[in-house]
Amino acid sequence: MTPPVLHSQRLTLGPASSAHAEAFIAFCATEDSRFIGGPADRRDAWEGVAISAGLWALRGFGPFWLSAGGVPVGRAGVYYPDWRAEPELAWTIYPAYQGRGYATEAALVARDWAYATLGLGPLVSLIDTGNAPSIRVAQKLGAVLEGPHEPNGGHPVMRWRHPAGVAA
Amino acid sequence: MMAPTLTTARLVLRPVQMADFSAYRDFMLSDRARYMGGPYDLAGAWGLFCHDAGLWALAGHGGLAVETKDGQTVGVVGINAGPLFPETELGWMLYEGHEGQGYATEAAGVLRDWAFGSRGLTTLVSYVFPANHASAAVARRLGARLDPQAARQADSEDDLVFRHVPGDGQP
Repeated sequence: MTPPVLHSQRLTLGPASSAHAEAFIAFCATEDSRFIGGPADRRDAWEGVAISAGLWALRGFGPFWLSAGGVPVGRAGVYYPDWRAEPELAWTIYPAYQGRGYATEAALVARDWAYATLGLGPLVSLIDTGNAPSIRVAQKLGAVLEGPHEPNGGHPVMRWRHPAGVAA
Repeated sequence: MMAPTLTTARLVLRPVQMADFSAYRDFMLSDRARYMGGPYDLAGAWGLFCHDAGLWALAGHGGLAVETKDGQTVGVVGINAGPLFPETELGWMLYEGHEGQGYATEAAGVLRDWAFGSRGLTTLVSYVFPANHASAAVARRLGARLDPQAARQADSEDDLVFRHVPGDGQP
């Protein structure tokens, strides 16, 4: 399947468009993408877009692409590659759009959808200890620190556990 | 679009599923993947697998698993595009033990016919490593011709490029 289109107060969560692909490729070219395995060249970043679409086709869920007023601002949703023990709630907001609460807003909609529609949860988020903005998002979402996870390219990563229920 | 299901005399080409990953991964991690830029690691194999499955939603074409009529998965054929390829590409791979029976030609042929028919594409290429004689033979059996002028992938200047056009493979 392809992603449904969901709405939060300010954001649209949905499938990839070529504008989303180009915005993601531009983001992956910068050091700002280090927490999702970047920087990556155009070819690898494009593969990242295709992998997101593939997760939807293969598992029936995956990352949503986020737009604010029609402009791509990032992606958020459930990331579950084959080798992981459990699905992860993950979010990325491009630097120009950070600091506005978009990640929290999108991740909450995606989490509620995953819980209510897929019966998943309580979901985990794996966050690099150096990624302070993302740690604040996890805290705002009510996630609690559970312990260390496998390091990401030598950087320590912590496992955050989200609450079990759909937010009121 | 959703991936279609196509059938031939002996084969069913169907959407890729999670259960296909173990055989796909074993292929991509093995020396058999040397003609496809491999061998790959687990993350590389997973990326290609998801790419095959996800490209349908992004490009309206992608990869299909190839199954015999008794339900055995023998490989994957696909139509690829994007920054990974200079042109839209028809590719095929067979898992170990399923070579020599014409499966690649039969599967790639029906996918090519779908591409030029319902999908409305007007040309396709197949990139083949010069040492991959089996794959070059498949391209020739499909009626494709070498196109020395075609663009190569940046890191693969020695690739043979076979060009497919509508009408190939028809008497």
